[in-house]
Amino acid sequence: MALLTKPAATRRAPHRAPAAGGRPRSRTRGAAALLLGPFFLLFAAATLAPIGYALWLSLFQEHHSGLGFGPATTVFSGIGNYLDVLKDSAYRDGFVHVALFAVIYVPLMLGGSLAVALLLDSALARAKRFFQLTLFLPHVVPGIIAAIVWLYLYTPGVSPIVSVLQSGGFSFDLGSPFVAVPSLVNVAIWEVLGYNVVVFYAALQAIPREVLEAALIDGASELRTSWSIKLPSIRSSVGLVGLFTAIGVLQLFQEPLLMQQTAPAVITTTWTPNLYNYAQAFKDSNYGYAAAGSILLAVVCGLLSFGVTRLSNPWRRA
Amino acid sequence: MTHRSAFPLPAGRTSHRLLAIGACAALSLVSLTACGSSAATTSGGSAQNSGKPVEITFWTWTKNADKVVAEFNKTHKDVHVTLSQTVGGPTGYAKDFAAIKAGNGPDLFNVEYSELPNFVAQGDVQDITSAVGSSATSALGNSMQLTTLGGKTWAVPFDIEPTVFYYRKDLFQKYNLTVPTTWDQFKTDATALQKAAPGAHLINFPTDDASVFASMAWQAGAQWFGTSGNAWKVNFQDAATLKAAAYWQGLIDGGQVSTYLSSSPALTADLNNSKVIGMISGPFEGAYLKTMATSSAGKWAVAPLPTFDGTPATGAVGGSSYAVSKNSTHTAAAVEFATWMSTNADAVATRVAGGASSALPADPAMDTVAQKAFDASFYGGQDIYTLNQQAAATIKTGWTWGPLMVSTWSDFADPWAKLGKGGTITGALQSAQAQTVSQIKAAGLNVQG
Repeated sequence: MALLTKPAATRRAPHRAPAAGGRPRSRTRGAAALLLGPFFLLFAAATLAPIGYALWLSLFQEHHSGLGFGPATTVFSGIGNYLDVLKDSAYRDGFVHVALFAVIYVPLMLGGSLAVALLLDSALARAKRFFQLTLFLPHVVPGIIAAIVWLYLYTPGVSPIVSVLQSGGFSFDLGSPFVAVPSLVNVAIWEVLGYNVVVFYAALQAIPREVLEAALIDGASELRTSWSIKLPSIRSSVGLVGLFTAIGVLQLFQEPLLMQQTAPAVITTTWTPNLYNYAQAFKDSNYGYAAAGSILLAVVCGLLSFGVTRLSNPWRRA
Repeated sequence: MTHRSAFPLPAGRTSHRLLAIGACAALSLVSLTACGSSAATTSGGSAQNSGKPVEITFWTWTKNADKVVAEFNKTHKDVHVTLSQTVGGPTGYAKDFAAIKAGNGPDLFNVEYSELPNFVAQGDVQDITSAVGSSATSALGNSMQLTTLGGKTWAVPFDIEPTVFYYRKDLFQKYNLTVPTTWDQFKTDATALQKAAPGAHLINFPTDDASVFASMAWQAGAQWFGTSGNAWKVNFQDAATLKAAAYWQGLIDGGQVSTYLSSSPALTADLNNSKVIGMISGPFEGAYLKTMATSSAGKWAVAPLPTFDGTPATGAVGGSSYAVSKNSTHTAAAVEFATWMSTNADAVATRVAGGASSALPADPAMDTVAQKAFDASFYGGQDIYTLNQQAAATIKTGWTWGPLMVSTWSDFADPWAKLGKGGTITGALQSAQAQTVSQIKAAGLNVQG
């Protein structure tokens, strides 16, 4: 949500400074460097350095000889790892899986959080604070914990939900893809919906009230106002959330990793690109492959961000 | 795999003798390991001079490890162990690999026999041939072969896990089943049970763990891995394996065995509801079964694994050892602790106390210690240690684990999960073999197959 308020603040900032001459500006610069320094230091250590290391790792392969009970040698392999990873159908399948996941998840997530945000913003809503907080609560739960909690709720014999379903004559078999994948979508929505609602709600609150009043005076219904005024006004946040959601899907990891323990027939060990990278690094000790797979994934995420930004830009101008 | 397995014990026959061995080992390391860092060589010696204990770290997934470590620290002034409880199975190994790669590995950690070659091939563990004292070597006897690869010792063995058959004695009587000595009889029992108690299964065929099936292929005479000169031979589809595969596929297709995941709560429920009345696993399972099938305490018994021809034979499922990571600069101290856990009566008794472990110690002298400490009332007081010992003597020789078993088990995971849901054992064997061969090739090792 902070992301929404920030652009406005930075846009306003330049208007305050210009009156001053050269000296104050250099002082500002010094201050900026001082204030931004810690960020760039951490950014370099926690983001740039690992990316650099991954790039480096991705160019090498470990080679053993004979039976392998002697020391390994590290060989430069250029783009060999990248080609091998791309050739591996398990890696490519991972993208197909997350794409299928996205087809179910993204519309549900965007539609659901928009609907809830619009309800909260509507004049009819009661107990807004309470619902905001309740909806946001799951986001505070770490993803891994959420996955564990849901895992219990999905386990026959333990879960009250499953026993209710079963007593109602419905079968609940995580071994079926038609159950396992929606179950995974459900965990992801539960975790992130509240967060997106807050983003949308904040954007909705920023719509000038006089516009909404004008609509009201013109006789527009709540529904009509939502559709023709509120939604167009928050397009840029919808684009932003869409971007984050898409990237989040590509990076799916902990939920399927845990889910794999109960539904291994569907959620395989290389079900998403990140699971593939994890298996390469920590089961196959193939760090070069894993690094190459990760870099490729990052490139795809980058391209996707670029694409989504381009798509949502015209909206922003509107 | 068998991540449920966990088996460390401690021992302490004569701690001062071990101490002396440790010191000798440390000395020989000084002279032998030119490659070891200077820290490695000084730590052992100087610590003993200054009277300050050598600090080592130990990672294990085994139960009662905290008590074992406390017992060691209480009785040893030269070495102090800090325990880190980890999880077993692929997740635990992932952590070991990553930590050692990053230089943060423990001094000593648990590895199963099947995965040990993977750590050796990865260069992640130290050659401890010269660090293991002769008394430990002779106490552990033939078991030392389990941790010897390429003529070098890479770990201290802890237990031997011959595959055996657990069954509900009372229900076998109730349904008039014969305790099987052949697989034919086993199938007859399974079919009879299916008729007598619809919905009940003789055993569960775990679909998240191929190691139980591997042990049965092993029993039938399979050899998945072998070496020929300087090259690996890989064959998951030899005649013996295919025979076992056809047999088990028949039972799965006929619905005579269930196909739960071994960690499934539904399996636990079925064990308690008399819906699954047997289990095939190693001696370590004795302690786990006890905690799973609580409602049927006293009604279980253990028998040797049936065979195709009636001649006693078995494979092994799991079994673990203690390896020194390449990050360790305290090899001698780590080996001292490891041999203590495997060959000292105190250590073994502490490990087994409360029934936390039913593993069969690799050191035969420790079997009676473990037996005394293990409460066998769950098995109606049956002498399971003698039975397990006898089973251990029938483990078929000639079985070798491959160089990348952590990967290989993971190659099995996906197709294995589909058993009972349309997948087949032969299909799984085929794909796992293909993947294993390509992984071995990718690692630059020689391989035929």
